[in-house]
Amino acid sequence: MGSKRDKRKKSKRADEHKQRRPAKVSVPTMAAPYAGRAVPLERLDATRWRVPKTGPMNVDGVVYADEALLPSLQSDRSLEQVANVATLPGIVGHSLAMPDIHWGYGFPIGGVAAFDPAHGGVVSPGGVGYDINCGVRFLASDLELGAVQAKLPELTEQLFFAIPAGVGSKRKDLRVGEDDLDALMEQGLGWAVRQGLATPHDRDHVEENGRIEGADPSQVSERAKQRGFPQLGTLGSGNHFAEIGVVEELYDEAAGAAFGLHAGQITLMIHSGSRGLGHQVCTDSLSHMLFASAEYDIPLVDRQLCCAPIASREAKSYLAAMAAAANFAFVNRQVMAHYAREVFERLFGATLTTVYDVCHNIAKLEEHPVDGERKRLLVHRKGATRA
Amino acid sequence: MFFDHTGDFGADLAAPTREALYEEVARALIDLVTDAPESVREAETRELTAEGVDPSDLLVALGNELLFALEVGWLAARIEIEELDETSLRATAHGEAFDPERHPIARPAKAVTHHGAEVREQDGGWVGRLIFDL
Repeated sequence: MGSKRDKRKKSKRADEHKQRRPAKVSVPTMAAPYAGRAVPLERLDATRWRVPKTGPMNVDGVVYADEALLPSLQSDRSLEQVANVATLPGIVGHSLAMPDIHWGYGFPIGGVAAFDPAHGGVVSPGGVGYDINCGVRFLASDLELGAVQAKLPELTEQLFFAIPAGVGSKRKDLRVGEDDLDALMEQGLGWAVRQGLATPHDRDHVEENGRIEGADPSQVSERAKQRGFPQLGTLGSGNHFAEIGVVEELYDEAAGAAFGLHAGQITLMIHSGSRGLGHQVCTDSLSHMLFASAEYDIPLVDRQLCCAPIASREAKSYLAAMAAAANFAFVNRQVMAHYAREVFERLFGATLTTVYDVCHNIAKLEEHPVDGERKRLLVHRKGATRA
Repeated sequence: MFFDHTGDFGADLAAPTREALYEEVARALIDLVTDAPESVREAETRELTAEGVDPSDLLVALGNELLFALEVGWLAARIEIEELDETSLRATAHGEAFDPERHPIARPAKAVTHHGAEVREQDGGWVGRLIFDL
C-alpha cells in the first residue's frame, strides 16, 4: 500500500475517470396529475371505477374492484400511480388496475397498460418491473392427500434440495455451462426440452410455449449474466415460494376436469422469476431510458416511468434483453419443476404434470380490438397476468 | 432511517457534506440487507465508480454498484468518496468477500429504484432518499 507505483496507478485511474465524466442531462419532468390531492373514483358498474382524466393524463384510469376492496385501494398511493401511468405517450384505452393493486414505484403492482407503436407508444422497463417474467408454474400430481401425509416431512426436506431458496443458493446438480446461457435465453423452453430438462408437454402448457420472440442475448449485459447464471434453477427470496397444495374444492367441475384436476389431489406451485439476471437487465435499461426520456423529450411525473418510443433503438435493445431475461425465467421455473418431479418419482413413484405456467411481469406485442379495429399493441403487465 | 413502502424499503439519508451523503449509501445498504452490519470486516479495498445523469441518478447508480458487488460475492462495510461531481464519482470501498456463515442476509435487495430518489441541500447539510426493491 502507498508505494509510488500504487500512487501512479491511482492517479492514472483518476485521470481516466475525469476524461470519462459524462455531461449532466436534464430529464424533463412534470407535476403528477393528482399530486397532493385525493384521487376521485367514479363508479362505472359493480366492479369498475373510473379515475377521471385530468392535467397531463392522456386517458382515464379504470380500476377493477368491488366495494369491499375500496378501503385497501385508498390506503396507499397506488391510485395516484394509476393516474401517472395514464400520462405516458401513446397509451391506448385506459390505465388499468387489477383488484389487488398496491403501491409500487412508477407503475402500481397490478397495473396494465397498452401502447400503440403507430401512435408514439412507448416501452417503459418500470412497467415490467425488476423481476422480468416473474410468474407461477402450477403442477398437478397423480397423488391423493392420504398417500403423502405420512411422508410430508421427507417430501418437504427433499423439495428444499430440489428447489434451492434464499440468498446465495446454488444448484450443484445442474450441468449447464456458461456457453448454454445464450442458447437458453434465446430458445427458452425449446432449449430445456432438448436438454432433457422439460417434456414437450411442459413446453406446450407454458405461456408463449416458454419462449418470448425477439430475444437477443447480446443485448444482455455481462453483469446481468454474471449475476444470473449461478442462480439458474433457484427460487430466490422475498415473496417467491414453492408450495405443496391440495385441491380442496372445484368451483367449476368441467374446467377442473379439462385441466386434469380433482378434489383431494396433491399439487405443486412455484413462484419465481428471472433472478439477478432480470433485475440487472431492468437496472441497466432504466439508466439508458432516463437518457432516452431526455432525448425524445418525454416529460416524466416519476423517474421510474422513464421510457422510449417503441420504434427507438433504446426500446428495441430493452425489448430484446427483456425477452432474453423472460426466457431465462421460463427455464428457471422449469429446472425447479424438473427436479421436483424427480422427488415425486423417487418418493412415491408419482408423476407431476404441468397444468400451466403464466408470467405476471412482462411487456408483449398482442393484437387487441380498438374502436372496432384490430391493432398490434405493446401491453405492459406488472404484477398482472393475461386472462 | 428507514421508512415503509410496500414490498420495498426506503432509506432517508442525511450528512453534513455532499460526499458524506454518498458515503451513507453503503451504510444504508448494509444496514438493510444484514441484521449484523458489524460482522462485515474491512479486510480489502476496491475501487468503485458510478455515473448518472444528475446527482439523484448518481445516488441510485452508486446503490446499484454496491448491490451488484454484493450479488457477485463482495460486501462493502464502508466507502470513501475520492472524487465527486454532479454526474460521476469514484470511491474506495472497504469490505470483504460475502460469507453466508458470518453475514446473515435478512432482507436481500433486488435493486435501487429511481422512484422518489433525491439529493438536496437542507439546513446547511445534505439529505437524500432511496427506495430499495426487495
